[in-house]
Amino acid sequence: MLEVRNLNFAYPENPCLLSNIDFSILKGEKMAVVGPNGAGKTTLLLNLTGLLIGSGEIFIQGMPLCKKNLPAIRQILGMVFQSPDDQLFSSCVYDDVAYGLIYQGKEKELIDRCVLEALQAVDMVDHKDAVPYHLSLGEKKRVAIATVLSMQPQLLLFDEPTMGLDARARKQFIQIVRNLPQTILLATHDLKLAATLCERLLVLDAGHLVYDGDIRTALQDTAFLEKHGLDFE
Amino acid sequence: MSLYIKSSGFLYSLDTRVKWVAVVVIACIVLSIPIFTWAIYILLFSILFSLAIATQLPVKKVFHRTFLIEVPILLVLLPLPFVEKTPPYFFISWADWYIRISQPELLRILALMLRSWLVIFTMVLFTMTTTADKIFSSLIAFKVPAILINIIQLMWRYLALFSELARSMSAARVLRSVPSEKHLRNRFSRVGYNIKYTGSMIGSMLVRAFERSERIYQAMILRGFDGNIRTIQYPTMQATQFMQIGFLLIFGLCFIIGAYGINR
Amino acid sequence: MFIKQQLMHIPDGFLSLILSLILWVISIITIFIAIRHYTKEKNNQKLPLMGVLAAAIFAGQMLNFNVVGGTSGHLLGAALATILVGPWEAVLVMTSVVSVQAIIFQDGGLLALGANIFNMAVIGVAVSYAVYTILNKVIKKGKWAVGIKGFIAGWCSIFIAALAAALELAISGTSPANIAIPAMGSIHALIGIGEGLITFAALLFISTSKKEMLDETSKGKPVDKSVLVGGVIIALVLAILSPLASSNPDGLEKVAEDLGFISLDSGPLYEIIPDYTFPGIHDERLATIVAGVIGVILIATVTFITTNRKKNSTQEK
Repeated sequence: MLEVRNLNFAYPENPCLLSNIDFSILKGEKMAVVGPNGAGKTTLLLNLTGLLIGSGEIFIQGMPLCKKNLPAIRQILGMVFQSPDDQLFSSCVYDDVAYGLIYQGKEKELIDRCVLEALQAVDMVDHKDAVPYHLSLGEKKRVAIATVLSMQPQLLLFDEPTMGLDARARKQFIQIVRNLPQTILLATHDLKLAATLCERLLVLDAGHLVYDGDIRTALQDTAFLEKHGLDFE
Repeated sequence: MSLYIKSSGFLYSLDTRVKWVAVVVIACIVLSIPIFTWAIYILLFSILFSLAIATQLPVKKVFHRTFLIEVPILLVLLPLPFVEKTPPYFFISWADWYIRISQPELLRILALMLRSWLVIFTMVLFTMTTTADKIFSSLIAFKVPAILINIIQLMWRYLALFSELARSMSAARVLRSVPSEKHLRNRFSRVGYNIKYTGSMIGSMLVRAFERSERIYQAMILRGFDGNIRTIQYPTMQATQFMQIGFLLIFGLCFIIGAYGINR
Repeated sequence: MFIKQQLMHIPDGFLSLILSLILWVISIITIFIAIRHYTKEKNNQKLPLMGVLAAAIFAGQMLNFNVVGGTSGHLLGAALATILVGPWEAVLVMTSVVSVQAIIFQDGGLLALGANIFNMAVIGVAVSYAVYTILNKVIKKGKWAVGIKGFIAGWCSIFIAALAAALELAISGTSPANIAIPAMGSIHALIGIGEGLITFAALLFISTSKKEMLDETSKGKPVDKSVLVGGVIIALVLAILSPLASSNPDGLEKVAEDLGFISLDSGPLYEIIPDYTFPGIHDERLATIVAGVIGVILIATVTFITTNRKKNSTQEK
């Protein structure tokens, strides 16, 4: 599904945001990327979407990530941003969820159906005409997921999805993600969330990939977690 | 943040485009007729007021809102009755001296204020019964460029967020600015402090705006944004709406011609 | 919160219809040129930037700060927008701000919106740009360079825009030039200081925390000569014309009358509509009384019907 080979990325003023990242995700897998603040999780996700371009190779469903393939890849891959306010920029929920479909040039009826399905998946159908600003953070988050789901991607990237959510909203989020059939890559510093949702774990620290493997094994090694600024309890 | 009140009724049931035409027609009537045509002002007001009642709008709120608007430009008008030399005058005399007020000039200023108030009243009815979103998106029907509408919609979307930020920053300022003795003693340094703080707040809001726009752009790109603005087609107008607009235009014309008839 | 103490939004009814229409046309043409520039540049990132920046400036206008004597100043933002995104984009940003203020918050009139866009979004931006670009040549280095340039640009934008507004009021015959121009000019010379100081402080804040935001107008980008020249001309014309007009208000009135801007008592369409076609009542007082009676009857009937219907519907429930 996704393969990353020897990915390096640096800003001119901030060298080595990512160095020598190698990993791959299989279809249907749910994987978490964890690491302390500033470890490069968001940078990694943005690299996978092609919004940032570093050196190295990235393949998505066998397609190399390059300018030519971008339109095709953006149909396959969806990203849910950390702040839903960045993602919900239209004036009502429907417009936001339909945005991507409109740009794909879909028919009105098809758009209606896809929007409805996406909102159903996140249980927000009743809020179809709501103004994003009036929603709670948890609701905004769910709508943000719907904006991505409506485009029917096969790979979903989440950036700090539970940041700022209260317990109930967090639970709802977990429920929604569990039911999603897509391949999922989840960047978070919330190890508990990673443990509930994912089987596999990547640990990123200061731009280096320090662990890639089964999540339970990593969780038992408290010394390792401590060393990389992570905490399970 | 807008005036919109969620409810239903006659004014709510009208198409936004028809309401736009109505607002412009009324503004044109009010602003193009001879200034002292009180009869027309009275008729228009009665019609607008009846519409407000028929739609069951909270009348008190409507009035409150229309009078809340404070116009500093009035400063330019206020001295006029005292300096203009158009008789007849009112005299307010007191002991040895007196104030002379030009009667027609005072009347003219009242009429000017009444005119602008009538248009404001119309706009208040419009915005109370139409969501801001509908008001903006209907502009496409009047050939307003899609880019401009898009900027306005984005602005409206984030305005609430930024004004909340402004509010919380102001609160933080109030909590923190227990003025030191120096500030209390020297008025100018206090003003300087205020300005510096306000400037920094605005600066930091602009920085945040910049960063947010970068992330919004990323989100837009990921969903296929390519620089062209595409929106869902606005539904075409029905025969009823054309008829309503036609009625409004005839109505406006009658009022204008009538006004000139009265005043000739 | 938004409504109070807005700067120079001209309400409806204060400008003659013809002048409003002319200014509408000028504003619309400018907006279209601005959009053409944006499309040509193909910098798609500017679309969200303009929208969000407009929101920030709009919100920034709510922040009042106390000036001496209980008055408070606040921001217009034309200079800030110009410095941050460039002149043409700033026209679109300020147009959005001013339009929404008029449409949603009734701040400034609807037919007068063209004039308000012209004053704040066109003149304000053009003057800021001209002043800032010229100062760029003069003041180059220094810790406070950006701020000082911003201060002067901000002050000029407010002052010149206010002169324009005053001149418009005078041409419309609303207020004679010898009152409107000194009044508006002196008030806004003061308000302009507030604007300038805020622009100063905001720009200094930005230059320390996110310098790349300021690159747009300072270096690298070629100077937009048409805006520069336009801004200089507008500023000069208004700065020279205003004192002339205010020292000779009757002259201005004469010119305005000759051009057909003023037709105070009779209304702008007086000449167009011929004499003999008038229906209606020719006695003004009688007409007013009749209108009053009709109005009262109308309101009473509607109130009666509505309350009755309300009662019925509550009974049914």
